[in-house]
Amino acid sequence: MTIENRSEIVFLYDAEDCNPNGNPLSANDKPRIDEMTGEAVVTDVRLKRFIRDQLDDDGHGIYIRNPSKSPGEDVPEREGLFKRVTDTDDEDVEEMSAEDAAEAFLNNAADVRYFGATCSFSSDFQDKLGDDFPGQFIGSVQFEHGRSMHTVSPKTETKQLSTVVSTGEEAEQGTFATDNRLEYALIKFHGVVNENAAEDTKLTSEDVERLDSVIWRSIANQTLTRSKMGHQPRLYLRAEYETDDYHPGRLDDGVKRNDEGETDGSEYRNITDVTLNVDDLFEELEEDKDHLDEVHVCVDKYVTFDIDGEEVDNEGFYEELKDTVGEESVDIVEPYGDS
Amino acid sequence: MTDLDVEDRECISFTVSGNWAHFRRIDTTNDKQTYRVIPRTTAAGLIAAMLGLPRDSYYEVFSPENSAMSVELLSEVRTMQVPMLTLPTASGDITTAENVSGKTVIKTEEERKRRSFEYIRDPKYRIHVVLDDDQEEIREELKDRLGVEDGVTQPVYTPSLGKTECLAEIENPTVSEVEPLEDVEEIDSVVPENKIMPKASVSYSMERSPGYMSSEGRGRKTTGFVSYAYPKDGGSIEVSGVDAYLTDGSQVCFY
Repeated sequence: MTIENRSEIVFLYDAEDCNPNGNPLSANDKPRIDEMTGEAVVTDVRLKRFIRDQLDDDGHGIYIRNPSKSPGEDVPEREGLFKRVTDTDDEDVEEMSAEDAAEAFLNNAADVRYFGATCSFSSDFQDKLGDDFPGQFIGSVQFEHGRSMHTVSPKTETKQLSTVVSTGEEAEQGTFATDNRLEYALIKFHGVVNENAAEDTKLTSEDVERLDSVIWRSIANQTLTRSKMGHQPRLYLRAEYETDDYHPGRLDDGVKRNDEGETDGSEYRNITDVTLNVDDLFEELEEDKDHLDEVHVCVDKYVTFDIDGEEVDNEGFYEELKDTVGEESVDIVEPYGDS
Repeated sequence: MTDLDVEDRECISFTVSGNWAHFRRIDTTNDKQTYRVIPRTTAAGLIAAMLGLPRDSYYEVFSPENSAMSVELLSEVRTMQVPMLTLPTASGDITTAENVSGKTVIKTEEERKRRSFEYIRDPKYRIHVVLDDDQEEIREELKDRLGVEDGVTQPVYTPSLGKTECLAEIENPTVSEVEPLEDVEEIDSVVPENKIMPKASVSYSMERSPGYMSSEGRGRKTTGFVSYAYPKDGGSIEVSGVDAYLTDGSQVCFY
């Protein structure tokens, strides 16, 4: 059964003394920064990579695996990826109908159910799959590029790294690189789960429930490399609507900095330096109360909120949320429960 | 250009905005640059997505005979380069799958390339659509989906601005009647090139983007382009002697 309800997601995480998303076209993979606003930018692809890697670690099949998590020579072509994820060989594929092949693919590749995939195979392999096998699955879960909620400061003390880059088994060459990091970035992501698109990728309600914990854990667990050390998930909120085809569309705008207009935030160094004003978020949820089914939420205990002029922590946030949409409509997610 | 006589017809208007937009220019190769104004074909696709119409099924609805459209740029144009890893599209790296139209094959996963995508930051457009009388079903459905009556926007697929990661918000839908205007000096929408007479000391930003499509076998093709002047700062354009209309309180040109 695919999902029946649409959801809108707001997700905040922060990055302290690290590089939240390097720009591969810059020298030494500099953090992506919007030159005009000074905000850090993190692509949707970066977030999805964290999630895919976490799904992989949790034992779910994924189509787009992380090349750095698999041995260097194990870079299969697309058909190889298909066969690996569905555990099939050429003969199996030939015997299957296009419909069965699509079903096997979607059953075994969790990331395709969430984010979709382009399946452009060789004509030989396409013939084996059958003409009706879709060339493209459009993702039912869509995220925007994330942005920091404030101007970021690059770390002034940079580190020189000397590395040995292997470009093959024989060619080895040493090089120098500069380690670029940001002092601090509180990054906000916005996403939508579309129930109509879910029909095409067979996204189940179990998948969506899993997303609630996978996103959170992926930020905590998949950032244990040198340049990513220092990430923490801070706020996850998925508003699930029972009204067909409805979502407000800009739920993320309701989460603001309390000192917007007074400072650009470039002096932030830690989550304790930030107070989040969520009055507009609660106002939006209040307005949408008749459309709401449930709000799935998880907030880190170190986050401080300003609600109606009063400073509260995560418990205060939950209380206010229950007051706003009704206790029965609030589901506090436990990310480290069953995965 | 549209052949539809828009005078006295019903016009459906709505605002679409987002944090990001990318309307892939078809005349560049390595750098994925974007058009500044949402192309007419993309606006048609956005409407079709809100209605839940499948790909390749709606081109006739938005043909020059059946439809007229107008786009107002409400935000200042600002772009940002966002490099990403992509699979190659240089000749030789990709081939078209035999007997399968519209499908391309990439030889290996190893051939990833770093490409720069140009995105528009914080875009906002007001789109005005006029559809012919025989498209009444579509018009009613669109008004319903936009929430003209009840204020509840209910798009079937998630609206986006060019790419799926450019999530969009739909706001302020209205229905109005199109009235002809005479001797206007300013236009709020983009102005088709053939309607604009250059004026001394007024500079125009111009671009040419796909306007019309038709389905072709199992794919689609562009059947017409529109060249237009647009106000880079999101304001209006000084003109003289153009065919202009008043709709939804704006002075616009249709195309």
